[in-house]
Amino acid sequence: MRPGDGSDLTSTSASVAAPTQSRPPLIELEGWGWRHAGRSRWAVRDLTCRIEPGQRVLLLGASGAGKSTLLRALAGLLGGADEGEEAGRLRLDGQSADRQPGRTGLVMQDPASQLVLARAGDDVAFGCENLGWARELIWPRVRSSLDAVGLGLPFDHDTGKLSGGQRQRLVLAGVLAMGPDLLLLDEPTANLDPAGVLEVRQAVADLVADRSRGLIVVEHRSQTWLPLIDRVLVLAPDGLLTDGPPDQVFDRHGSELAELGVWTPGQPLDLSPRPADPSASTILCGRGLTIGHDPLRPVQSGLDLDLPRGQSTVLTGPNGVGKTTLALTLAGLLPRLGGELAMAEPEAPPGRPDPASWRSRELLTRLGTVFQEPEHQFVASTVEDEVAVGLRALGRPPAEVARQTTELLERLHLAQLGRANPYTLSGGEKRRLSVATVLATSPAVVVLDEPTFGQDRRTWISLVRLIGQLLDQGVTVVSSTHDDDYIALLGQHRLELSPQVPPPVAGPTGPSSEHLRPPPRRVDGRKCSFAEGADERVQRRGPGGVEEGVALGHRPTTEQLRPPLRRVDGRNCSLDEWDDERAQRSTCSSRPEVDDGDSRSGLEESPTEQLRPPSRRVEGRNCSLDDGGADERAQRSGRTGRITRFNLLQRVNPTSRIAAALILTLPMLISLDWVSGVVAVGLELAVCLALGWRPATLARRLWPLALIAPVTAIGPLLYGRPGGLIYLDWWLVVISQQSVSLALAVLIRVIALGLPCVILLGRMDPTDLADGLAQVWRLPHRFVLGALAAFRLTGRLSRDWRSMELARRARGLGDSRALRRLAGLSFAVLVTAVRRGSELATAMESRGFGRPGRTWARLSRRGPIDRAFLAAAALIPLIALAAAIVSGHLRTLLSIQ
Amino acid sequence: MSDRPTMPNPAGLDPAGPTTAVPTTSAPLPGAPTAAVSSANTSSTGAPTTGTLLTGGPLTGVPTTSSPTAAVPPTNPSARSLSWRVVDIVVAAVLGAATGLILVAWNTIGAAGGDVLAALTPGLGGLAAGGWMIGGVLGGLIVRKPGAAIFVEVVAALVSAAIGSQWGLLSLLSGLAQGLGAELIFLILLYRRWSLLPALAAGAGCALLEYPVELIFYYGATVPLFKIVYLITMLISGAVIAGGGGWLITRALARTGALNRFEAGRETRRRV
Repeated sequence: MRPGDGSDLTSTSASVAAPTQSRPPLIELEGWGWRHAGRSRWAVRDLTCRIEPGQRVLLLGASGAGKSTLLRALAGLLGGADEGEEAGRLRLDGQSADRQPGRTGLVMQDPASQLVLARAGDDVAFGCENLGWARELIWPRVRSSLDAVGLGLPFDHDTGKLSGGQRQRLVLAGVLAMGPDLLLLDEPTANLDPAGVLEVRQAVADLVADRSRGLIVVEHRSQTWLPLIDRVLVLAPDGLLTDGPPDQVFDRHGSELAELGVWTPGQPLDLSPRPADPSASTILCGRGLTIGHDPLRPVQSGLDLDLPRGQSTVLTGPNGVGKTTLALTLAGLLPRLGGELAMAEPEAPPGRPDPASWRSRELLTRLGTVFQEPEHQFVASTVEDEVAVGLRALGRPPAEVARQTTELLERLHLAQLGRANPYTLSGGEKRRLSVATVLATSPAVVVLDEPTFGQDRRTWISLVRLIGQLLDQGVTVVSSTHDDDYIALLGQHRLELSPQVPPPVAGPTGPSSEHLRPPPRRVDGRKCSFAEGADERVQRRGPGGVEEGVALGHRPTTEQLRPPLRRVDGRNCSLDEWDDERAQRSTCSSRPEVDDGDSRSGLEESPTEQLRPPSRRVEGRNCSLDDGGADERAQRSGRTGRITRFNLLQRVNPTSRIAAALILTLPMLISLDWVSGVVAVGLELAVCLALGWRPATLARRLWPLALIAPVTAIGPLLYGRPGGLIYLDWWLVVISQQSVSLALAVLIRVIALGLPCVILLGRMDPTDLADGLAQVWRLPHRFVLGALAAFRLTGRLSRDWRSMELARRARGLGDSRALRRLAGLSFAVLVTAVRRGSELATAMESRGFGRPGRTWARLSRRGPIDRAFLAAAALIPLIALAAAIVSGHLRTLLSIQ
Repeated sequence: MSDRPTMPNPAGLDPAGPTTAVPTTSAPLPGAPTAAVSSANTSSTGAPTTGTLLTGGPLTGVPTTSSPTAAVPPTNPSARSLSWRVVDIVVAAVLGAATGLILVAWNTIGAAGGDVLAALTPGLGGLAAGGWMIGGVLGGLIVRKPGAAIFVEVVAALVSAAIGSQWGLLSLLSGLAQGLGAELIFLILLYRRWSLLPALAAGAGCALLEYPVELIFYYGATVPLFKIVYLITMLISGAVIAGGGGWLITRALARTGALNRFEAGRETRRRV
């Protein structure tokens, strides 16, 4: 179906495509419909309309009305006959959409699963390469596309180290580079914070300003896009519901649209803000809290807070400031790094106020957590079981479990889905279910992490209502959010987090990570105590502590959480917000993994989701420009060398490193004697030291090997072929002179085999490796790049894993046996992996991936240095084997009697 | 345990999901074209007929082929496409990455203790081996394309090597061997049988090819009894843990709807 996997790499100019300039397409749909394979229902049906060239269209409709399907069809991504059935006709300028690669550009909801590659420049170039453009055309195009969306990033900027808005603009740049005449945006801002929404909207507005491109955008929050829009199309299950200019459509159909879940201008929410009750007592109290995932990199420290009983408190602040981390800490899930956290009695178990010390089951009736991604909470295979899990963990009798489950599902309008698999629900249903699982065990405090993220108007309203009911019942609610409407309605109390800076690190070259310590927590002598009344509570808060901010009216006031911003020094890394800081850090830094053999490699796509604090490890060094960072960056735009201590490994092609590892290990498989092993290991270590490796670094890299090697020697020791003196003979176990020497040989051989692999293959840049595999070794590029993209996802998957782990504690399953818990987690991660993989595949296809005739924006080559490197590598096993032969010790597997 | 199973009867083994590649199922099935038969329909109705067959709407008689790739619809319904789509490649790679990640996680939970225990017993360590082979079976069963088992295993090995396995290249060799083992079984079955028995056989196949690798690396010098016990336990473990486990996981994944773009997902999924 797709010939030319090992496509033309050297790309003679004749075969190379080039960007074409054309006009926005005329879109014609005649009775068009699509039914996904395996479905009985049509996703879209009987759709007939005509969209003029350059028109800007807002596409609306209830969830499930087929908006995304239509966009994918226009992008030519629906796939062939084995993915579904098509009806009617869809034409761009009279032609099928599939035949026009690069003509349309699709941007989807989640930026993280649309970025394919680790470096910003590569990611933008990805589409151009897939379209087969000549190399010299690509890089200027990448620059202009980045500039067009307002991202002045260097090409090697890590795509993981961007804020949500920056990421989505990078996705846009990647689409733009392919020169599309029609932009298709599928809820491009649903996952972004307000600042990100504005960034992306502005970038799109610039792109379509001269009407050289058409625009079709799907978005529930219609206000965002209204200024740009000429026409609104509303999809219904059978064809179009309405079609017309925005004013007209919203005037005539405003209430209908609101029913469909669209946020329409002028449709009031039938909800009113809740006044705060200043007399409420404190139920959860924090003093001097230091929070974060890693003791070396606290996100916030010295936080003091009191959550009023039966009231709603919102945690706000810019992206990455630690809202989620704080929410998870308050929920008793994430161990805090310092300070005190206490729940008041009678809610807390007598004498044990600290939630972090409770068993998983004890959390159920006290602290419930609704996670940002509902799927992270799912542990059962049906909706009913999902709700019942917590009740069962509490040991409630089956009849009561059944009764409560049914009741709750009915209350949340999920009753008819009782037997469905939780993962198959719609977005709104998943959110309701995740709330239901928490409500089942009636916790005294409910913690919600970004509960309204990506919700349409209908599910948004039902969620806010539900929380209102909880408050009426006296439940205390804490939500981390950046949703202004939500804050206006439920922000009885507001805790605003401001960014904090890690403690200053001495000197521009910085100490090694071991010397970083969490900042000293604020010692103020205050302790959590629930004895005093509310008045005293207010008084206790002096200046410099948390300022009281109980709102009585509509506008909640802000409690500014302390301590305020600290600055490191006058150097150029301003740390106002860690997204910015990260951006700057990597602009002025070398990549951490080449500095230090210890930091994680390109695997890690760092989050803007706040699950993981920014890496502070090499802070001091990163921010100085005098360590050759600029040179390095300049060099890195080409493929070759980064200036490091071990620059030999960086100078050879990655494929040569693999080849060298093979050369070093394969001959050693022949021998099974200690002499060849010792000689090989000795030589390898000597070479490493000669190349400038520090012994400490070597030891750090090699210790797992040193641990595992003796274990592998146990088998041969006990069950090796006996020979010579017998030391022990017991049942099947015979330890003899020969078995001892075999065990020693196996031990040293495992080290001899493992050492070159660890040294040569560790810390390899995955992108460089993929370039080498596809260009030098000519492995099929689709598979190489697919694997590379998947590799990048592992960082995200391990964050999913951590979040799911916390969710299991929250669900009352944290006390079960490790094996069982791990099995459940593993499955959940697999589900997430497949979903993210499918999304990623769509994103890659939308950028032309998978066609024959791909070109490469960056060359991967081998030179004389590679040849010398391989020749040198071959010497080591030769010498080792020769030594064994000469000394008469050579023993092979076959020669063992 | 045989590594070369006879052709199984899928209907007897896998009540929930007969393999769609069996051409006879689509024609004689009675009843309305509802979800129950839709998976069979997809492989048998080629694109050119869909316009007239299903819509009856405004555009009858103007059949459209949806894409250049789809312009070659399976003329023979039994000839399922064996070429890789982008989604096949990426999901296979992601499956590999996820299994690699999971293996590392399992490793950290007491695998070291398990290793020691396994080494102390005469060859019983093979019983744990199946967990490391699950990727190949899973890849084959889900993606159903030639080379899927190998690809998934190799990616899994690369990922686990990169994020914390001590074995480096050695795990890559193991991955290749295991993937090849599963692959051979699926190849023998012409990439048409995906029920439980083929899965068990594929798991055993992984073990069979991994066995010589383990011998060369670690256990070559042991007494024959050790080797035989090790082979048997590995085969059992491969079949049960990798084969049976992989089959169960595939079905469970299908029920979550995550595999909707795959035949494996459309077969078993219940509609509610």
